[in-house]
Amino acid sequence: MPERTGLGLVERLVLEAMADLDALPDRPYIKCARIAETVRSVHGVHADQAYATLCALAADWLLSVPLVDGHGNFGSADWSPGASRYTEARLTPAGLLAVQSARGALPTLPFGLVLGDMYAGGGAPPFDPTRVLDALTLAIERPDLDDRDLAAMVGPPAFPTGCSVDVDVDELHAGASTRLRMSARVTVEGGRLVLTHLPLGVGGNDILVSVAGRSRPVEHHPDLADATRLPVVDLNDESDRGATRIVCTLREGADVEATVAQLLDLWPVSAGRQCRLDSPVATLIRQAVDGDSIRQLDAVARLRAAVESR
Amino acid sequence: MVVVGSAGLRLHGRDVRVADLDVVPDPTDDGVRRLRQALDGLVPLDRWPGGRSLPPIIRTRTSFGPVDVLVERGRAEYARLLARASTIELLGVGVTVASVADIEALRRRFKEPAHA
Repeated sequence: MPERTGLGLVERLVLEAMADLDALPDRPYIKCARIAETVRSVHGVHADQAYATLCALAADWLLSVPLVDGHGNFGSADWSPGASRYTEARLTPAGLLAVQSARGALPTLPFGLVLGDMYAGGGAPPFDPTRVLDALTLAIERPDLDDRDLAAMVGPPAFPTGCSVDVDVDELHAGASTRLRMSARVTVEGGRLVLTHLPLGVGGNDILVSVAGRSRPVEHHPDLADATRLPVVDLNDESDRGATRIVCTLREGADVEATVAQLLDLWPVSAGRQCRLDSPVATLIRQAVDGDSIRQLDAVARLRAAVESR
Repeated sequence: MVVVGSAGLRLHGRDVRVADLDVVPDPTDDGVRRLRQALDGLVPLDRWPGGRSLPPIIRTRTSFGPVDVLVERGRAEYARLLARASTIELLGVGVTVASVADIEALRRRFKEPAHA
């Protein structure tokens, strides 16, 4: 299968297998064990790896545009999914577009740029889907457009959790290796600190363990521990299925601003990663431009509709 | 334990980026016990590995960032690293840091050079 989507090989094999098994958006769900076994028997990819990839493609805390619609326990940032014999899946409308694009039935679509591969431990961050599609539309309509204008259209990385991102965008857009720092959003609500929008792949449980652990006194090097201790006296997880919300009640008289800075230094409230795109971002956009502009604009509109329907 | 890696170079005054803390543990039972005590102070987010023998490398996430415990290096060359290490004071605590030559040698054998 030629590479037309920017997705990884195993991702494409899983999506292809799902399409072959008729696990389409308007069809019934298929057992994940059957999908993973199909990928194993046809392509030799270990079934566990195929299932892990399938679960990642269904995870809306990892991908802004999930390509798989999961039914059953697909886990969370904190918990692993259930075994493949208990879960079912089918393609999302965006997943079907990815398969059609990979097979050449549709023009090239820039899934690699929209989703990145940081969700799978890679170095490419995801970008805002709407901005990527706007940039691709512009590149189709105005091939003479300057690279800098195209890169500006794409903008900074945007993670599905909505976490803050600190990165040298120009370096990243140029295709250089650079350091990216993701931070949760910390807001002050009536003297309490509220953490929301966690970094990619970070679960609320990790934050709770980290904040609670750094708020209690320790025996080992007490002076050093006191210097880094958080003045948090109570911690509540008010998360619901849609959003993480961790509320920290501070000790009376605590310096709120200093505590916010301390929290943002805490790992994994903030987490750094080395990141890099395969090519400059304008090149990646131009590589996605296919010959037939009318067909491609139609495909872009279909992907945009799939993104906006979420 | 002896600090190696980019954190070790940083403690020696080198201007390098530190992404994690690499330590070579004292392989004795008492050394491992003291290492776990020190890690508890960093608030680990992962469980200590079970089983009779430790894996070659224990990668653990803590509230201060990732820590790699190079167990196999400890078994092979802890005594040699310790003999050439120095103690560097950090916020009132003495930290045992491998010599620059040893850290560089380890990086050459196992990793790419440090990025400035």
